[in-house]
Amino acid sequence: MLKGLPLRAWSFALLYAAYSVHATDVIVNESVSAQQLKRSDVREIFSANRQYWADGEKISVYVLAPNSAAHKRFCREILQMFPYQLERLWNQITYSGQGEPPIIVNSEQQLIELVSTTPGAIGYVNDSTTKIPESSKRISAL
Amino acid sequence: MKRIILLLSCCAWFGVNQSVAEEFSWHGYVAQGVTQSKDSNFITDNEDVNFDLTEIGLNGRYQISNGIALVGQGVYLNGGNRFETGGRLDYLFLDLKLPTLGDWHNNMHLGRYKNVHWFYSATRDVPQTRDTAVLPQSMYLDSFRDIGLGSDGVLLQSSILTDQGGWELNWSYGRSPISADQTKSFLGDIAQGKGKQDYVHQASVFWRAPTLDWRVGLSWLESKFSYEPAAVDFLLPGNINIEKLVFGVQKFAETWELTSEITRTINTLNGTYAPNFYTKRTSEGGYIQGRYFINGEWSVLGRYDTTVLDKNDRSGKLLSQTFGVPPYFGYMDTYTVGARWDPQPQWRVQAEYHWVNGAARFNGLLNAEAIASTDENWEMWSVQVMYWF
Repeated sequence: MLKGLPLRAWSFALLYAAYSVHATDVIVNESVSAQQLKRSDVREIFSANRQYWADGEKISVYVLAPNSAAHKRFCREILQMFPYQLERLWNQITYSGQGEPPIIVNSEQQLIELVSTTPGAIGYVNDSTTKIPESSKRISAL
Repeated sequence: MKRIILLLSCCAWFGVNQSVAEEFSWHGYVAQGVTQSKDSNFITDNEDVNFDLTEIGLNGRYQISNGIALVGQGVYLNGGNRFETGGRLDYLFLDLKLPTLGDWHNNMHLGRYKNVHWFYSATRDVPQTRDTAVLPQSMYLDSFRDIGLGSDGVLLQSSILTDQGGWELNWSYGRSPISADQTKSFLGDIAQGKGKQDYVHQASVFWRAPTLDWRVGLSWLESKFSYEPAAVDFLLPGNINIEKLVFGVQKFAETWELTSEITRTINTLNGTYAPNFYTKRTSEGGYIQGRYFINGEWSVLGRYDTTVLDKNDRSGKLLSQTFGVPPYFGYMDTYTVGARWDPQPQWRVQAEYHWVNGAARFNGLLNAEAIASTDENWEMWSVQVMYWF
């Protein structure tokens, strides 16, 4: 049956397999009660449009440098938007006084540490096999 | 302005008494450029290469409680003749989070709010958010910079973002103070009295595609300005009513983006120049702009921008007969190329060159100096370095 698959389908299947092994994951601090987020929720949070969780806790957003491969991959896979669009939204929110942009950190290790030690924090890791402390958790974001 | 500050103080006090968490954050920018306008005094009177392209801004957000924040921005600007040089309070408002309605998020801005009704109106004061130092004048007239940026009053915003796309609804009502210099700028140096904006009423709707690669907007504006002459004045009492419609569309792709806004404005002028003077004209304009991202650091831009003051007098002949100005003050076409370099995060160098045919967006049809110094074809350019934090 598999022999009947066209080349394009094989390409997508291989691509999916590659991403499912090393897919980008959204991580949050253990204080966050949500177990999953819709893509629109993640977009609102990472574009600085949403500042608080449903229970009133402040959201602290951590991201890697906008020109890093990891951030580009997060934008492409999870947010499904281009990094420059995200930066525009940050500028629009920040410089019209409507909120705070995400905090940019230098390394994934630093990001994991900050998310795991900051109540209400959210960030991402670029590999589903990356270990994260018990004070943080992966959540589904689709 | 004093009334705004008093009102905001009262509301802030109320907010503090309900406070659950207070925090303060601040951001800013510094930008300096070198610029020149040739065969016109659009930027400076002497057409020399100059440094009249300075922008310094500092903004703060004080989160009084989960639902209330006080936000504001002060700036210092030097744009040569494009707008008044000096410091000003760009915005100062209370950001009140209103109850959600279903999945709709609602906010109210009370005080000196920002105009959010056009693509670049809310951030036209921030150098790193503009594609060029001089924005397309058909939409973002520099002499109207302070009036177009925001008003004293109230803004209501409602937005929803779902996996099916996003909607944003905005409504505002307010007015902007008009200085003596701005009055002269609009009516000519002979104006000795006081101009004021009675009100500006705006509404807009924006839609984002589910894939976020398209954004479409439609906005409406109605405003009334009036003129009260001085005891000794060549001008008479009068008013002007403006009704403006704007349609805009943006397309985002990985290596390029396209933006366009088109506008139609109906201007009705009563009095001011003669006891029974009445004129009604419809202005039209718009621009189309493309940016290509060469890589993560470099991008280039091309733009065409066009304006006619009266759609029934596209050559400006009637305008010339009425006001005695050259016909090319009735239209303006601008071709722009630009380049952007982002050498480091939060640092940018932006260069642009504009070829202009016409002078419809010049201040004051009765400004003899502007008329004498502006050719039908003129140029301007700038290079600006900016840093933000």
